[in-house]
Amino acid sequence: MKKVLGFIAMVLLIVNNTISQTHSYWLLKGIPENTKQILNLGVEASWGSNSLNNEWLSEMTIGGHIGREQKNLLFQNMEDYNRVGAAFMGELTVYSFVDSVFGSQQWGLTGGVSHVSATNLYFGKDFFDLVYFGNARTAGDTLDFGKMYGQLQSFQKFGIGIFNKENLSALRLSYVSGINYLNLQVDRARWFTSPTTGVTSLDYDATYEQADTTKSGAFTSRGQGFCIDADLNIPMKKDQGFFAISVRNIGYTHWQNSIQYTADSVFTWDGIEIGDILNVSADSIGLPSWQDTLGISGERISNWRALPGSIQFRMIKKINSKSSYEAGIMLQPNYAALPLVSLGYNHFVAKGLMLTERLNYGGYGRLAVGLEMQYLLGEKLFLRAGTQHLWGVMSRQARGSNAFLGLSLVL
Amino acid sequence: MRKLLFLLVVLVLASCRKEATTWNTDVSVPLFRGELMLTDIIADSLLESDNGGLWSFVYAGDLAEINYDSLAQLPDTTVSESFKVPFTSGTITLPPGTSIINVTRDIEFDIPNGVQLKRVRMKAGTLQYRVINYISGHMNSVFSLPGLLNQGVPLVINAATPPEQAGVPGVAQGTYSLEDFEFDLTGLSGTSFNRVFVDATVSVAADAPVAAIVQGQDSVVVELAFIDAVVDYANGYFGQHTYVINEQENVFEGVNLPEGQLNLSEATFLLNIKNNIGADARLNLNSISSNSNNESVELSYAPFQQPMLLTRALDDGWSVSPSVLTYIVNEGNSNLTQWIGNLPSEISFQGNLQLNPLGNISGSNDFIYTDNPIELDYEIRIPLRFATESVLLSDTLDIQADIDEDFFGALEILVTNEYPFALGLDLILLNTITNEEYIMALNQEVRAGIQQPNSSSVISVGSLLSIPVNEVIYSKLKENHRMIIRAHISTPNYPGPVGLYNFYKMTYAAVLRGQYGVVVQ
Repeated sequence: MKKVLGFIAMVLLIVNNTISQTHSYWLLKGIPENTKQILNLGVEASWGSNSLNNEWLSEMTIGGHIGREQKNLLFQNMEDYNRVGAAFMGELTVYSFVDSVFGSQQWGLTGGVSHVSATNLYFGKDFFDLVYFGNARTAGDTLDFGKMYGQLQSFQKFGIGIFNKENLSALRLSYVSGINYLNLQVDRARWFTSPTTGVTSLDYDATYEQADTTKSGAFTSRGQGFCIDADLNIPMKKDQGFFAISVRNIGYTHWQNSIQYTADSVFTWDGIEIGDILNVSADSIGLPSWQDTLGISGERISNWRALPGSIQFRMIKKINSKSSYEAGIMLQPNYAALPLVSLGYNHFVAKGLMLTERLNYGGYGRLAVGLEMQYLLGEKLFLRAGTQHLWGVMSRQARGSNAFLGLSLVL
Repeated sequence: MRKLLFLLVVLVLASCRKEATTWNTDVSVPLFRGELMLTDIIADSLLESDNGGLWSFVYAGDLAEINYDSLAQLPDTTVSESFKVPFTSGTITLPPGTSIINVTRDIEFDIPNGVQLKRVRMKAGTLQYRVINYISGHMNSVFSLPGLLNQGVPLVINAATPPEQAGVPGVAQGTYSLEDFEFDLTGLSGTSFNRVFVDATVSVAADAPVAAIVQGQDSVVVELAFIDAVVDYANGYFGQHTYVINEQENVFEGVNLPEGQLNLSEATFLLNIKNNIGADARLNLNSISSNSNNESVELSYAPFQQPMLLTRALDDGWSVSPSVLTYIVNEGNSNLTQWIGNLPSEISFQGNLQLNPLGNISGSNDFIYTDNPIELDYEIRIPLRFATESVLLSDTLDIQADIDEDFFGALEILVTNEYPFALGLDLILLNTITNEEYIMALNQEVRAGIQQPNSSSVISVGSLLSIPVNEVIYSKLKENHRMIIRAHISTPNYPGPVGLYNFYKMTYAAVLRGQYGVVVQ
């Protein structure tokens, strides 16, 4: 239970991608002449859920008391199965226009470093019930957690690749330094509490894996791997817009010396057997070994594990000289994330300043309204900032939040 | 702006949290369970059940430990006998092989207390011999002891001694283990006691290099030392002895006998006397008293108020047929109910045991196997039938001070009672410094099992006890408190007795029900 709670807590600490990883409208519209290098800096943090809200996140991360009214509200709005996920991404990318690749002036070299932390949890309503309300109120009923999946990955990438100087399409291969990996898979879990005796039984089949626990340090490498990131930007005819396909974190990490616990058992707890209650002392009460009693076996393993990848399709279509619309979809292959669909409207509100309003649905959360600003500072600096979840940055009752910042410097 | 910064604040503060995350859950958690049987209250060794399963409290002991060693004891004894040459003056020279001394005589043991032993069998011990030669010549001494039989063979001591030189005698010595030796202590006459017959022969050694020069008054001395002799069997006359009996027994020490009124109508006190000795004895029990803090009660039973004669045991050569006296004291023939009802912390026995009170009437044919002396055993047996409205069981538990204070609610104990009586349970916290008491629970009822008519079987009945767990309890537990558990027992249909049977038990299962505060640091 403690590990599961810890996992949930970690979910709250980190957030998801990826608007900041797409290129600025200004760059896609056209690379300034005589450009030698472009530096892109992107930072994005997000979290979302279809059931949990910012107030809960705040209390789980910053601290505080989660009251009964708040728990009731969350519980009432929950679905049978619920999703929560978060990610944090920071990236620095360099595009060099002075180099040529394969003898072609159309292709240049690109490189970058980035840090990614991503986590998600797919859990049943009954699990929330047990954790936050306890087992007393459901005594006599079976709490069926169903299937539950959770994962956290944290890693750094050091990549190099090629890009197209005209549309910034790119292919980059990265060395991955794995920092942390947690994975929980519960295929079956049922909890029953006797209403009279309190006898509790847990029928479960679960696997939990954690990266090398013998190493300490927040940024200590516990695994190595590789991944591919790619952008394909296809301009429409007559400068009517473009299609963009982005893939991120397609690769694997080899986590060394991980610990993997497995259990497929039925555990019943009916109290400590006392031989002679009149001679009870602290020394005479032998608490059971929980790991043995729960039927948990652990072993050290080293395995390749897939990175939390994503693929995004995006289209921007010009309406007139001052406005355009966009549509996109992002897929994340994990149990907790739905396809994230977005529709947006881009329009200039002043010279060099473009606003985008978006409607997003899916991912870890529900419907969200986003707002983005892209601003041209002079001719060399592009700034983009915004949120995919405007309500999330305004309300503690919103079920998610997001913020991103992008800087592109043309040298 | 404040709202816009919310997410960043979350992320930043998540890495430097200032307070714990908490929430309350309603829990129902089994804590402990078990069974309570009579053997948990009274030691197994003090309980016996009959064929019907009725428990009895049984205390058995030895009435007295009488030292019988003096009856058959061979004290550490050193016997020194001097054998002189058969002339008083002058000097003669004797060639090798010449016999000088040939004497027979009894060696007498000094056995105290008038004991006259004719025959003994040894269990252990050592015989040390030392032959001292005052003759100027190599001597060969042979001491034959027909009364000391080793595996049926008489003991013969051969000692070759060097000559006396410059006033220093020649010495030869050695040892024998006395284990399994049999001593015929009737001496040369075959009718005496406490003596062994010795046949001594001293000659000039046949292989002596030179002739012996013997002077008048020269002698050869033999010393026999019996050390740490342990007798297995003795026969003879043991004399008249009086052994004082003055014993105190802590009968109920460490026994959690219920306070209140036990039905003692079926209680018995059994005295069993077994005389394994081939000698008559007379037992006088002047006093058998039960002593409690408040009172001393004498056991009044007519046979104990006069001497009890124990006839001698019979020895058929293979086994002993003891004479046995058994006295069963009960409510009908004594004041036993009052005597046990005093709930003594100590029982005192005073009197004496006289051996051979009529003297040597066996023709010195007393016998004793030292492993089987006179046995004086007693047994107090109290069938556990009782009737009461206020029997009290009490015990005190030490409380561990390191207590998690995140739970508030109640400790609920589901008790299933197969005993045919009800319990009123008190839980009290006692401050070990100020002796102040705090009542956690008072007279919480465990209902009686339902006894079937004309049967010892009982239908179990469940009861739910609830003990609050709150801030006050936590604070008390931290202040050097101990927990006192008191159980008031009331039997149904009082004063009709209720039996305690070995198939009765009380099962309990404790569950914590209440609010548990989860803290995630």
